[in-house]
Amino acid sequence: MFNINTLPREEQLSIYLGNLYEQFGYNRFKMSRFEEYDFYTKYKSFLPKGQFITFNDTDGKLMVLKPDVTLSIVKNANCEGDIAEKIYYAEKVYRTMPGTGDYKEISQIGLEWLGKVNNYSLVEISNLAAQSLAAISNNWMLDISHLGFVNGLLDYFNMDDKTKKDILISIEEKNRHELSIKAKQLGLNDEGINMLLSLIDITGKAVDCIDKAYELAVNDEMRLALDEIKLIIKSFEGKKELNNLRLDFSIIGDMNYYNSLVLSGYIEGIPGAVLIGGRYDNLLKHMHKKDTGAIGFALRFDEIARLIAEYKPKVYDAFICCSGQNNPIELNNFVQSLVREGKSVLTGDRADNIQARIYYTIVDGELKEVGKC
Amino acid sequence: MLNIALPKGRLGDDVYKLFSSFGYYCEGLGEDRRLVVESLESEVRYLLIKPSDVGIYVEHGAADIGVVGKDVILETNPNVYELMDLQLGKCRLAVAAPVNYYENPNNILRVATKYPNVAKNHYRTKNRDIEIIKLNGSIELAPILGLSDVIVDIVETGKTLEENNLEVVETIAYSSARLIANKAAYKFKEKQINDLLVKLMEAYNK
Repeated sequence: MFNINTLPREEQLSIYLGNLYEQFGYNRFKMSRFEEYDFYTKYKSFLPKGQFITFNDTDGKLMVLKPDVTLSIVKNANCEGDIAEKIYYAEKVYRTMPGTGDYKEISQIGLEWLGKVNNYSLVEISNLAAQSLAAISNNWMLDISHLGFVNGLLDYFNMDDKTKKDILISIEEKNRHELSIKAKQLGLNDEGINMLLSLIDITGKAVDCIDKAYELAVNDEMRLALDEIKLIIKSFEGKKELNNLRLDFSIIGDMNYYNSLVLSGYIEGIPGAVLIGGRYDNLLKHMHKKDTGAIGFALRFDEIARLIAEYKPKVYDAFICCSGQNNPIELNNFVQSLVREGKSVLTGDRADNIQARIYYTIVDGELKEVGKC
Repeated sequence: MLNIALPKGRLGDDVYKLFSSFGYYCEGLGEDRRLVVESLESEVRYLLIKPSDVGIYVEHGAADIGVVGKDVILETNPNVYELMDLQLGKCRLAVAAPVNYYENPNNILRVATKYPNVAKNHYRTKNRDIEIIKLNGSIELAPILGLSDVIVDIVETGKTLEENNLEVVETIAYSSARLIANKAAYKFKEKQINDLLVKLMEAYNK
């Protein structure tokens, strides 16, 4: 009979996550692999950089193999009502890889909360992000950052957009030496330079760092951002996952895309972030969805599958050695009867590289157990 | 165990001397042809790597941290943390041309370089149409033999340029050795990496 434990670990994980998200009220969104090119030209700033795979469909329309899932979900979502639309997906997207420029199929599993975003949504999404990471491995970290906090400090120093962008690059690289040089060039005094450096230096267990972050807050934008983070930390109090939560304001993501909370998850053994998420209200505004917000995350499932996949040679319940057997109907009947007993069966002339629990041969119209044949 | 990618050559030797003075010592490093040398006592494993590949090893997590020139970072743009300027191997990335060269703005500029991305980005900001000629060594030969108009390369003292009748016409960026870290390793080996970082900062502030 079907038993989930017999599935490969990555498939078990995918089913587990799907069930988890369903329990929290998320519905699966299954989408087409293609989207019209015109759609993406309008929202290019919300897409990952790089080339897309395009082709003409039968009526001449230029189509794209989807480089992103969220845009299509938001486009189709009816999220202006009182109840938020909660969606999860397990899809493949097609992107160019930085460095080589080669196209790559990437598996993603993720979820989106679309509609009225409130404090509960922040808590639920952060907790589900943590639960998703914990389902993959015991050694995981969830980094929390908030663009309101980072932007609040940069605004305090009256930076224009171009300078901000330049400063953010150094923060994202945790590049203290270049950040110091840039801050000096801006004419900041030692106190100002140290405040900017604190955006890199305040990092570690969230519960240990949050007070240091409050000390740095100089305006309401920064304090409000920290209040949201504090609420998330509080929601983990008394749970062992609290130790896996980190504050890291160098997690900036794409400023065009995210506008406040940013999440980034890591699993030991995978060199980059496997979970990326956060709040992205700007995209909904761009799509003229009024009074709505959005928050969600995506898991890089191909990277995760590579880590957890176990290769074991398959062991069949039964192997029927049918060398010299010329009655296919009789052979099929034997196979069917074993399958009905819930066994996996393989037939063949020899079992040289095959592992089975029991080996059979057919003698006088009956199955006879033998040693390896 | 902290995996450290060092660039093979003089820079790697200098960095190893510096790190071993803080206790990150590994017996036998550089004494034979082994590319991986580890010390259980110091809890460190050194990987000796071609300088241009250090960023790749660190980005992909094969090494937790590494030392690489800023010139290589600018060229390959690895997705890593750049934790510290080690102030070693100082040089600059520059455009050089034959002495008394005058650029004809009506022609596409032919640029010979080991750094095609740096060159492209530099001239893109100037809206200059260029043709890249990718070379892997002896870049200075290219303008002498008419293969290119100018070169984009690293310049340390300028002596090689001078001896080949070339001169710097523009500096693109200054470079020195940087300590880089893999983004995930920084989360899971934060204490080990920060311990090294603190020792380095103390040494530099002395």
